[in-house]
Amino acid sequence: MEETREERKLEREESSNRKISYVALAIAVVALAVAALALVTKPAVPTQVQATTTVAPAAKLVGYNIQSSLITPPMYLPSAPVITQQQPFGHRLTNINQPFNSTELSIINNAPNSYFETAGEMLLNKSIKNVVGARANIVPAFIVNGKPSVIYLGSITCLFCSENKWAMALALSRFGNFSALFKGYSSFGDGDLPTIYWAPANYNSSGTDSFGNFYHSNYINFISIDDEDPITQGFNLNPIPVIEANANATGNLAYEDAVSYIFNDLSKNSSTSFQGTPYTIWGNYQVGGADAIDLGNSMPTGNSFPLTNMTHEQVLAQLANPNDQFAWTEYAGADLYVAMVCSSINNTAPVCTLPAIQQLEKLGY
Amino acid sequence: MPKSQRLSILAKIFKSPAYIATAIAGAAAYYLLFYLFAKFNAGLFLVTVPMYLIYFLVATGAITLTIGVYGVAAYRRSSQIATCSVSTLTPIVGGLVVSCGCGSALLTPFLLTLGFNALQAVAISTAIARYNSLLVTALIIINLLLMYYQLGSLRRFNEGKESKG
Repeated sequence: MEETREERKLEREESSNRKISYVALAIAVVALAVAALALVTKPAVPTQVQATTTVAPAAKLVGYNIQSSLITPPMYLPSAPVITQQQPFGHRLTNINQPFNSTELSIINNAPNSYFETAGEMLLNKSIKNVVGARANIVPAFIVNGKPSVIYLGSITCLFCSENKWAMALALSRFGNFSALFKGYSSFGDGDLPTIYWAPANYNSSGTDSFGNFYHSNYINFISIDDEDPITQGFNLNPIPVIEANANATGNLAYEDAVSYIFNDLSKNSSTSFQGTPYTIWGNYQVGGADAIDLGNSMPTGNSFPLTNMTHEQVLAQLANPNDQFAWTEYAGADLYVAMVCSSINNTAPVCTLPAIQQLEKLGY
Repeated sequence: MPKSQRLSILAKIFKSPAYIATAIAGAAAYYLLFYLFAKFNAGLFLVTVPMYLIYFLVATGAITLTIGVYGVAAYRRSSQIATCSVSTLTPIVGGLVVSCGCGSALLTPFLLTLGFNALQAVAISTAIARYNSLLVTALIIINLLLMYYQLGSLRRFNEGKESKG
């Protein structure tokens, strides 16, 4: 009798387990389908430069053509002071928010055009081993005071924003110059990479954004928005309504409209919509993500990035005398941005005459 | 029956070269699954969670799979298929979780396809990216709980067989 009861208990258990089994199998199948669909809808980043430019339905987009001042941020933030204490790689605030000295600034502002040409040729002959390639969409230019704009929306905590800013600064230097740049890092959880801050950043607060920079150009405007969160943690991006509210609080038309252009106009289309940081616009080109994955002299694997163990001084020394993959990749990444701007300003800047830049323009940049 | 019977079942399974091979093959397959999903963040296998968490996730998933295979093969316990399939899910979900970072996540365009707007999709991806280490840890705990459940189920089945005998 007891044996039969035990058998029934076992049978009941087996039956209920079988039901759980079918439910779990169904969940697994659905999850696999979702995963497969996700893989299909998100093709991998191009690993070599190629004509990936697509034309967004520009007819549906209305460009901006406004008159506005641009924001000049403060040179110093009392709530986010420069920290001079030496701290270990991976957990650094060393020299954070410190302005570049004149020698360091000159490396960015006065990089020889020959470096851009060499890197461009290396990119075209595929001797750049790191990932370089941007998926660019043609969009109406954001025109302020008669000049097209470069718009940057990123986060100080973000790994890709941080490694990409070196290439951005080099590219921008071809059309104007920076009177100040600042030392910064990505967040500890996102590589602790040495990077550039366009303006002193609130590296220890949440819910804020840094607007503006110290860039001047006769060809283009540079509109920079860096989302801020404590860099001692991991990557974070404040909710988009917070970024919008912060932009509106500046009272600056160019910044208010730039944020609206990204989140309201361009985000109506899936190919140009904001899907993560960095998000940049280079004249008539919108680029989602970084245009190069440059975390050192070799492609990284796992969570160890050579750039984590480099100082700003080491990065700048390599950019001053490029002789390795890291430095040439930064210049190659810059070349793609240069080509996009040249294409947007009818090749009126001297750098646009470089043969490599012209080749890249022919490829669709 | 003492609870250590769970451990003795586990030891019995891993005394067999066939099940050790199953675990190794499972771990390799799960690591590959994880790798494929994770690398879609930037076209590279580039993650910001500690690697030991990934190894734990893969190892616990493979052990869970092996116990499940043992349950099905040795006892004809079809219910063990459930835990096998759930263990397969964990590296996939783990891969999706770690693909969420500051760049465009694998999940974001998919969420857009589902009808979420850009703001919502980015908010979800960012939230996942922010808590990615915790989420991977949660997946490891799910695997450990599954293992405990599987071994308990096999123990009860053993007890039933013994009392019958």
